Amino acid sequence: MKQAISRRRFMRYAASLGLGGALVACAPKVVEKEVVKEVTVPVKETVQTVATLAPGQKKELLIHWRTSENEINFLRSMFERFKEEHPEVEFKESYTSWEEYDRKADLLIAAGTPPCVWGPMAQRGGRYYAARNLFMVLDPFVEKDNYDTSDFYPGTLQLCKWDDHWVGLPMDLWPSFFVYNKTLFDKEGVPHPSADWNDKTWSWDQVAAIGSTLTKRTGDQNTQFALSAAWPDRMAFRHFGLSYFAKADFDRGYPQQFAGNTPEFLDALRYMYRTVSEWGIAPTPAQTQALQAGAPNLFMTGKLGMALDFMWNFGAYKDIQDFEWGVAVVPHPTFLGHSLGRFNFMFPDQWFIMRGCLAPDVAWEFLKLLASPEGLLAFGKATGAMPARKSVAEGEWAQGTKEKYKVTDEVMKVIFGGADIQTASESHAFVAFEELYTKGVQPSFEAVFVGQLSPEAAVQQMEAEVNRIIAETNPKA
Amino acid sequence: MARETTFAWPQIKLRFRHRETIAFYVLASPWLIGFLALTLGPMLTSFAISFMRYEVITPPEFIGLANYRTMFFHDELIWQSLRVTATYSVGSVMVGMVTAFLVALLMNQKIPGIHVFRTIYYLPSSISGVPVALLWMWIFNPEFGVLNTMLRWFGIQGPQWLFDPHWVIPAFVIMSLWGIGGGMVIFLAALQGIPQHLYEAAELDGAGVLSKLFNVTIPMISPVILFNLVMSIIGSMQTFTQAFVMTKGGPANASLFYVLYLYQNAIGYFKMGYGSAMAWFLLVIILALSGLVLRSSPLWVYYEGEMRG
Repeated sequence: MKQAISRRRFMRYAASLGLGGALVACAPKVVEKEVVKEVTVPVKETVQTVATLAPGQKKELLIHWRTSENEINFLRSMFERFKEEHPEVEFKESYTSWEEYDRKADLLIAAGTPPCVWGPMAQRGGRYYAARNLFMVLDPFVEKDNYDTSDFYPGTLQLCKWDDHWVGLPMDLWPSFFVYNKTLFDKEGVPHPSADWNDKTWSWDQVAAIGSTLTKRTGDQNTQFALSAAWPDRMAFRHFGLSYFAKADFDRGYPQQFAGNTPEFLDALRYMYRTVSEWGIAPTPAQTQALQAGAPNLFMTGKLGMALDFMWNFGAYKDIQDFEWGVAVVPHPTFLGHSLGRFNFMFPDQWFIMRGCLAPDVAWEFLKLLASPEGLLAFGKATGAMPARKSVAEGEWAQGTKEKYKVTDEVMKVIFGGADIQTASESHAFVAFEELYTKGVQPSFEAVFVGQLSPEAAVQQMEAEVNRIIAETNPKA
Repeated sequence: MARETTFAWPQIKLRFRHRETIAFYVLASPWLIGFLALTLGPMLTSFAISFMRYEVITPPEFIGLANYRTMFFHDELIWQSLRVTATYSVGSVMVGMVTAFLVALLMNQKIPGIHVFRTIYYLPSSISGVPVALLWMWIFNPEFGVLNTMLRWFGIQGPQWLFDPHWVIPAFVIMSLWGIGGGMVIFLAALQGIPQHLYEAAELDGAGVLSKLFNVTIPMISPVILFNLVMSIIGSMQTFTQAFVMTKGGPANASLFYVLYLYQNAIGYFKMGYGSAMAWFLLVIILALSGLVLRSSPLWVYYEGEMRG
């Protein structure tokens, strides 16, 4: 009797096992049966195709969030609060680090156990998932409850809709503004920048005018700069009232074509280039690294006049002892002979319910609690994020924030003014922005700053590359 | 009366060869299982995925050769990343091999305290990855980095290194010298294995230092040169961490290494199918290069005891 396994047979078994593994891995294990590639979401069908609970099965909500102690405590307090009215609901918790946050969510989705309620915030915005039809359409719930959205900042509602259907509710927002070094401005005798979003005299032309006064040189090196807006930066053109894509495309989530081939766009690029290379009022990346020298950011070194900023830095700024700092509006887009309307950006976040959630009715109720004044205030206190509701942000949250960060009413006024007019960043609004920017825009943008391409050639290159990627990534292009 | 029954294991008589075969598989099974489940399985899976559009959160969709077509005919960045990788590979392999060999020659001297020098030269190799990348970012800083400061002592205005598309790859090549310790140790071991009598015979024939180097040392360690060469080529083709941490592929894609671009596609844009196709193309490139080097080895590698016609 033959007992030994022949080498050939062993190899056959090994190959079969490997191939079997590959086939299993490739088998279409789907979150739900119908995964739609197109952006159209059939509302009625969506509600009908939601999986239902078996008789006697507990209503379970899987919540996926990041491992921040404050935020976990906030969520658990919300669970307790929710259970007071919905004792039949069990919460299952999934926590992971910020770095792994989206990836873990993706794995939960791929495994067929998507989180019921969560907010995609780390690597990709909600639209990436909305475009893949992974969010539950909330229209029936919004209509049934006649849900009032008038209290939310307008810019926060923009990304709660996909293809004209409700898919989420606002969570928070991070408006953009300028911080400036009051001590340095006073020392150089330069008037403080404006705190009024309607003030057109505080413009990019004005920044260029005061730039040389605020920039200092020691020997052959600049030791103090007027401005840092981190050119080339992915949202840079928004400060100039422009974008790579048409404004109408922001609602669609997919750009139709590159919108930067205009004289204004070209001059904005020229302006940015001049701040660094001609006027020398903004540092190069190498100078930034050198000046920063271990500090959390360049502004905190005291060697910078002003910078684009967000509230998440206030925690560090409150301990600055060496100089006094203030907050101003982003300069008006008046530059090199152009005067455009503002198109400043914010980073808004949302809560969503995933398709495949077995208890959509209670998920909706929980979503409403999270987006309620009570929920948003608690979240804002736990994270420092600005609540998406105007009444909450400008009420109790503002008071707490002023005390927490030792900031004045004027600072809060600038932030609230920004929240009123700003809209979502490209990174949040466009489904494939990461690819559009890193492959289509960034190389040409950088090439201008290292002197490899003229602004004109860079814009032409951007146009060709961005349009090529649009054709690849936009299903409707 | 109840009959007592006893169970007896079936007596299987195995020939010695079969017993040995079974023992082999049992003893090798931890590795075999690990290889099948964690290496071969994912490899075959990635091969299958390379024919699909797959974003993890949506089901894979079979698209035939579309990923490969895009790669070869539509994606210019593939060629840019290959150019970057090839340039770095040529530079780092050549500079690294020569430096490792020269340092090994120095470390092979019989001088007091040589063990300390060997340790010092090997030490950097024991630290790798992100900390080294961060360290070199400071070294290369054009304003106050050590390198440009030293150049300024001689009146030379140093380049912008990582911020200059023309200097970023030379900077990475210089940085690669940090890791020569591993190759140096292998060269050193080979140098110490060269029989002394060969040098004595060469001296009797009137050979000088260079003559001994080219006619004794290099031929005798040529199998090790071959090994180090193949490993260096493979390592350089897989460069990732430095570029990911220090430049993210910039400026203007001047340091867009192939594996970094693969990572961007697979993890950044979640194009797992495209990333897999890129990975398989890289495997083919590495196999071809390794094959080329191995095929050329009969021309320049000398094995002791081999007969040449």
